[in-house]
Amino acid sequence: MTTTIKISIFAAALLAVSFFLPWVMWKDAALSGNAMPAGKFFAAAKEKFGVDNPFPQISFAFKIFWLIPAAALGVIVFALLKKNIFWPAVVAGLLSLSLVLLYFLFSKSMVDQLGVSKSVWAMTKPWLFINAVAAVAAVLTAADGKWILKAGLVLVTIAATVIGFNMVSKQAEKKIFAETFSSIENVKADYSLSAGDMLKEFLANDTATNKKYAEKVLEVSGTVAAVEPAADSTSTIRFEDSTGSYAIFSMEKSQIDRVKNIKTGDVVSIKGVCSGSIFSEILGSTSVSFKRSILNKQ
Amino acid sequence: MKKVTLFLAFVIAASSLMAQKKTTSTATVSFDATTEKDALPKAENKTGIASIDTKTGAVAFEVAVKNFAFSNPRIQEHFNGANWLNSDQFPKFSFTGTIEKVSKIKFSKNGTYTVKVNGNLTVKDISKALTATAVFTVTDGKVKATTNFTIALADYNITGQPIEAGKISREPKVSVAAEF
Repeated sequence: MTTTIKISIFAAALLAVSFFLPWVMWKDAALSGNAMPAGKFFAAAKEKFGVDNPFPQISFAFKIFWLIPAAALGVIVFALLKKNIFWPAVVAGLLSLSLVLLYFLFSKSMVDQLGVSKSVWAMTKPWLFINAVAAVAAVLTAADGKWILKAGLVLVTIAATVIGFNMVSKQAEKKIFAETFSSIENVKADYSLSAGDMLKEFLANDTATNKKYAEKVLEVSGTVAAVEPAADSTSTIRFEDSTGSYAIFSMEKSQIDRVKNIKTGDVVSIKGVCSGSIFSEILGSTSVSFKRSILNKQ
Repeated sequence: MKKVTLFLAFVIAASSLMAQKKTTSTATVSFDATTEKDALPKAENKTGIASIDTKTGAVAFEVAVKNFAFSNPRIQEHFNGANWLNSDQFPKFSFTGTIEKVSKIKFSKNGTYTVKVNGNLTVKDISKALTATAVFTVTDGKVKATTNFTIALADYNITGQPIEAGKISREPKVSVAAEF
């Protein structure tokens, strides 16, 4: 067995093993190479960064990356049988190289666009780079000679992945930043409760309650303590308890005609997105604020 | 050089006309970090809490970070995120200060008064001195106050690639409008 073949076997084994070891760390989620074909890559992106696969119709194509461990095993088997390892080595190496680049570029774009971390290097794990080195080694030892072909394949793969990624991510970025919040008119409330009960819950344990309700849609009923229309068609409605703590709702512009008919003392139900509580030093009381609120149909 | 200009606005409810400390819980605070490259990072918060003491000239405002409403979901999430305003840990901004020569403002007489306000703005538990020009308008006992100023994000340890890339202004504009 020549040294080249030994390196091939070692590189292929490393490729196959590191495929299943952590490549990147997104917050508390470690993702290995198999996350992409297993469909866990975009699931984690959605959970950790709120970024969904912009083109779900091509998800099935990611299954091609299962060929990495399969082809890497093929290299080992072929080498032991003294057969030509060129194709399995090239397939495993180039696919893996391209996958490594995708993980790196995607993580970097999260840092650049969303500021999810100080730098992409804080998110990468050593196995990402070990896999990249093994991938290049697998291609370069796939055959004797043919250096131009082998180096060419590596460079073309890198270039194609980077160019392809940039094209897709430009489209995806456009799509994400064109989104706007839609009205919660037809959104089912996560919680439905009275203003008094809600304020009590915040006053009893603000940390846990903030966690429970933050950014959730709440349907809150109460007696109106104040209605304040503003010049720009927006308005606020507030409910109070006996201690001076209050809930305040920023009403959507669309609600202006209905808000006009609301008076202090009316009992109403308002649906809004909860922004949690703050303790006001100025007022010496707790306030719970809501955004994008609408009046519930009576 | 901390180039900051501050604005404050207040309106007084008729019932509290006699009190020297006036408060509101519906001050509007706007945040504008737009740049030529990106028109999205701006938002308004209509539930700011503000106060003015017409005798001592003490002014203050507080605002819940999470209640800034952005049009784009991603930008809003970003604004509240751990690397930015970290609103889970630091749920509010606050300002306390004093009007220079408050006696210049005749709270019982209709008119418009431009004054200087000196104080401290606290964001993420970091307090920085802030001086701003505020305009007070008194109309039949109601007081309206407005002010505009800019804050340097770096003063509050807010940094990141989108700022470097010019997508978010390094010195966003903040405006406050309140009626007492």
